[in-house]
Amino acid sequence: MTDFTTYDYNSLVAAATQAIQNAPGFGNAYNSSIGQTIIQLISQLCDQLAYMLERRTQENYLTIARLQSSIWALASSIGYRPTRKTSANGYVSVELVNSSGAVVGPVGTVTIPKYTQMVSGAYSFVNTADIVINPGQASPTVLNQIKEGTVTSTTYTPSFGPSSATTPWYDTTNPIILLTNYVNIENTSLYITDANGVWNDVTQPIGSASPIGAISFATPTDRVYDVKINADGLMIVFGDGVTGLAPTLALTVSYITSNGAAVSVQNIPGSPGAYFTIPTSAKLNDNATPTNSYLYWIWNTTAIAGGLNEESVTSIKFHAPDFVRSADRAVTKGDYAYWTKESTIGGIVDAACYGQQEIGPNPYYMNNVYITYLTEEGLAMDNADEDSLRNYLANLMTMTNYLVLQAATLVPVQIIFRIQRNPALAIPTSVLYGIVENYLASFFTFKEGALGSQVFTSDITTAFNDYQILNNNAMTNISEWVTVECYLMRPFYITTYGSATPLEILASQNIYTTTITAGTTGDNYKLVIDGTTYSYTMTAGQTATQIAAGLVAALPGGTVTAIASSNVITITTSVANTAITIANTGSTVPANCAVAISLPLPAYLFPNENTLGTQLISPSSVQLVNMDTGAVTYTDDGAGNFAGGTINYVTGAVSIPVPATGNYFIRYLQNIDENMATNNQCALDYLNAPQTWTPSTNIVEGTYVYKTSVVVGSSPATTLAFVAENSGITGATEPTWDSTPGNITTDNGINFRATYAFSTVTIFS
Amino acid sequence: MARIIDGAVIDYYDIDGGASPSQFNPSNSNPASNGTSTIPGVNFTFSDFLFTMTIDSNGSPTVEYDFDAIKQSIQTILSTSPGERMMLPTFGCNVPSYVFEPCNALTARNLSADIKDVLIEWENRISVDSVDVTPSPDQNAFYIDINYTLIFGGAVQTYSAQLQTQPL
Repeated sequence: MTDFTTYDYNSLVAAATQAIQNAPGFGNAYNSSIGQTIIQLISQLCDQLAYMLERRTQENYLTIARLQSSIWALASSIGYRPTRKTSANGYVSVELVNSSGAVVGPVGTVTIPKYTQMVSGAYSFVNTADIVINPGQASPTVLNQIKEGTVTSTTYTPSFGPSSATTPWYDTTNPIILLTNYVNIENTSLYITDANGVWNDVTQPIGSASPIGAISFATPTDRVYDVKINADGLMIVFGDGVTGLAPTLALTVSYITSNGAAVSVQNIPGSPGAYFTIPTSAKLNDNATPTNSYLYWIWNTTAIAGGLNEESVTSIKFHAPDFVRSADRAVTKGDYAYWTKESTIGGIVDAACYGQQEIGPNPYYMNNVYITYLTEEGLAMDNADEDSLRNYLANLMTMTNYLVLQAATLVPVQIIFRIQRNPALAIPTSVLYGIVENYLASFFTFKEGALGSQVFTSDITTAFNDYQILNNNAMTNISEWVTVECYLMRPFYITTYGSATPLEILASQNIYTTTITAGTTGDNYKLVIDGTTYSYTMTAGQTATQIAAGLVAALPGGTVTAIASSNVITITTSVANTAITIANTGSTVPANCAVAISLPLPAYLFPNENTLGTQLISPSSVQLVNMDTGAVTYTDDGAGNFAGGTINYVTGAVSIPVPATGNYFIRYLQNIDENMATNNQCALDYLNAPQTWTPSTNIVEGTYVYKTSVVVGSSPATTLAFVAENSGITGATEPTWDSTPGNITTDNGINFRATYAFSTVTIFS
Repeated sequence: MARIIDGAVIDYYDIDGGASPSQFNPSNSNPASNGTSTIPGVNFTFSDFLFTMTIDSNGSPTVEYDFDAIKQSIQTILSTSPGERMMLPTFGCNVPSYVFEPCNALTARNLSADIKDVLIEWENRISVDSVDVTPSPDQNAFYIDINYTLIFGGAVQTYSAQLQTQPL
């Protein structure tokens, strides 16, 4: 056996047979001979032994270990903490009612203490904070977050000695509490107290305190514990009095036992959610004297979703080496990104990092480290969270660096789902609707890996085509087919100020244009900006260009900027999200001082608009949509006309008649002829022309029309995000847009509208 | 394993080579020590440990040669049930199951065919000429005579056995 990896049974038999083929009794190698039987028996034993040895060896190396217990223990031994189960969570509404079902306000204060068990169906939930209903408070209802699971609370008295079920303390250097069934302990629910207060996780302290990192870094007074895992279970390790305070008082260990991803409670828009009961009491008491009791209604106002199972062994094998490479210090950009994610401060789920040298050799900023983060809500952290993150990273940095923290910004994309339900499903469409909504919410959740990822709409359609639920005791697909349409989207809000109707454009500037037409000498040209009138009087022989220049000179400076070009004055504000009002009230001939409003489409989607000089917006694809109703208000005609206004397919400049007050967005397709992916920009890239839906032909997997491609360059980094929004179910066999939110009319099809957002992260100093 | 078949308790089956090994191989007590076969015309020696793994006068495991080795091989094949041999599940013959079958000519014919098949598969040192199985209902037994010719040398041999349930 020159090949040392060839020690399987057949190789062993062949080798032994060859080695002793001439020995009396062992010769001939006939299976029916006693000698050959002996050879085979010994070879089989050797094969078994080799397998056992190999398996034992295997379980000692993280990359090739197979048992979950081995992988968790190995990862823990290098300081990595695998993620335990995460409970589904959401919000419930609580109302006190009388015997007639009418909502009432209590006489005294009614309090539902934190971690009160609430039951819906077969599963239990607990509220994550006290629910307080004040005297007389009947409306609005009280909203509170709940988590799936049941609370376990055990008190341990220090009693050093061998560990057992009743004496869970090890007689070792550091006191230890052992929890054997640890996978189901909700990942963030471990809570340890004694008579002197709370004990903090050494890596994830409660509140904004900076983590110490390890017990070995703790002072003798630090009330901290560490969590480690070995073959026996999860160990809560305390200090020994030298590094970390040693506990001397009785410790109460509380945690939520979670069912992970197995539990979700749907929420159907427009319908009440599932009802919850408190098993310990049919009525709630207030604190008045005498005490009053109230019936109650508790139901979920959002889906109770987001539960996750424990981290998979594959994930642990992938992430644990990153932890080792980071080695408790932040030096490389990978270190900074890793520790930013690891901190989870402010709900960070993903992060990317760049150094100054990657975006420009500016000597004044060479110590800048740019961290782009993505939080689970997609929002920027507040100052307190940013300070916490800076402190957290300061403990890991090996030199003085200045951290530039920047949240991912969102580039919205609208995706329209059309899902044909599987007729074999024996559930009402209303229930299926909730299932789809929950699945969409989980599919688009902000999570690690979103930053810089690439997503195709075919990923979405494939996921939905493959998604199955339990139906009549069999796993059944929910859909027969799914189609996805994807539009670039630009949301904005139109409000009313007095008699004028300005536009407020989120995250951008208001742009107004005033087109001057020469009139008669002595005509007044007036612009009323935020209530103040600015006037210019035409003199003899003046051209429109001269009048425009004169009017611009009369306008104020400051936050309002006016520039005349020929006879067009462009007026902008430099304050984003702050509307100004402009009207031509008082002009002698208002038509000669026409005010129009231009809606600029997001410029960061078209960074090459001036250099390419071609149409980046696909003609006949532009629509102004009411976000609240889904109704299409304006549509372009493909020739640059937009419901009386205009649209420039090259620059994205839009001018439209002002619609009614409300939430709107403009959606449009990118021109198929342009491929901005080559320019390393965030872009939609279409593979084919939109496919026509044919009622008689099912759309099969793999033929989907759009590829939504986000290409990642070194800068800017790109990520994606999702904002769940609206939904409806169509009533026709042919799926069409249903403009009524939450309207459920038939079982034939579901038309789900969601706002799918891509985020571009541009790094600036 | 005891099973009750037609009122009789069958404790075990018994395969017994009817003839003495020396009857077929007079030279087995004097094997060729230099690798020369004791089979006339064949320069090869078959050898195998004795099934009982006894120790000879020299303190070595007793070894059988040539005719005896082959005969022991036949006995091993017939006395091993398929699935019994570790890592070789198809090895053996289904002879033991025939003790539970009616003791008649049909069973005898099937038994004969099975024996012939397994010998062809597992013992290619011989050419099976015939397998004669005679049922003996009175004794609840089958008498088996296997006539075969050695591939090496052409010697014609007969192996006789008796398949019988243990009487009460």
